[in-house]
Amino acid sequence: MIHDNDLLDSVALLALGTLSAGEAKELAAHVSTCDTCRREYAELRETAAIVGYAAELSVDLQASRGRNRPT
Amino acid sequence: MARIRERDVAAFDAIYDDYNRLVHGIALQMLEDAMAAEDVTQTVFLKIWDTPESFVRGNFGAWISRVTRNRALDVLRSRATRAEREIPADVPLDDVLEDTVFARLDGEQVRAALSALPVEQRSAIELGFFGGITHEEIARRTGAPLGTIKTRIRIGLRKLRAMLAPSVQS
Repeated sequence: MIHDNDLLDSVALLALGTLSAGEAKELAAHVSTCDTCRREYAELRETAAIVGYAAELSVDLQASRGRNRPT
Repeated sequence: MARIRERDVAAFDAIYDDYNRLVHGIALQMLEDAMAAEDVTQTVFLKIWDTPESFVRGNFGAWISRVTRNRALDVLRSRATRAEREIPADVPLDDVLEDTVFARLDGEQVRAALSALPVEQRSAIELGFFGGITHEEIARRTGAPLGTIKTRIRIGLRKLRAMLAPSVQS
């Protein structure tokens, strides 16, 4: 398969998790068998997940929430 | 996590103390509802206690972020008012070993790195992670062509990776 930028852009969406279920499954099947796409996915997957840190609450905000650890 | 597998409560407490601000923050931002965010937080930590083997390897902070996002996506799917719109799916590739390049991060570092991106890249990435919408919906909402949104996300993620892990090439 030719690796144009559009395909690699789609791999970034797979890493971030913004594809529809059907698109994600179809692309995942390709990525599993393609070295170029696997490398792109492996490089972006961790970065996509750590975007979540942008929402990490400050210690002050958390103190107002209280400690609700499951027991 | 090995100690949690041995039912070590102190190890679980330490994980909770280190990551509950992250888990709760993601759930709150995605769901915009304090009670629902609390439920998701409880669910995520119960999953860690009940099935610690579900974390296999890699960056624990990245893993728990994804687990939280996926749980929040489930909640969004279950909301009747959102039924008309497709919620994106996170399909992990278990056979692909992710690169692990980040040391311990915190919210301030990641927010600073996101702020350094061009605003259109930052906003596409944040909407993609927290918005509970597909890239097609991002394009519709922002008025940008679909291909442009996809490119903004990929380029933005590459820059973010380079900023937060300067030892790797962008």
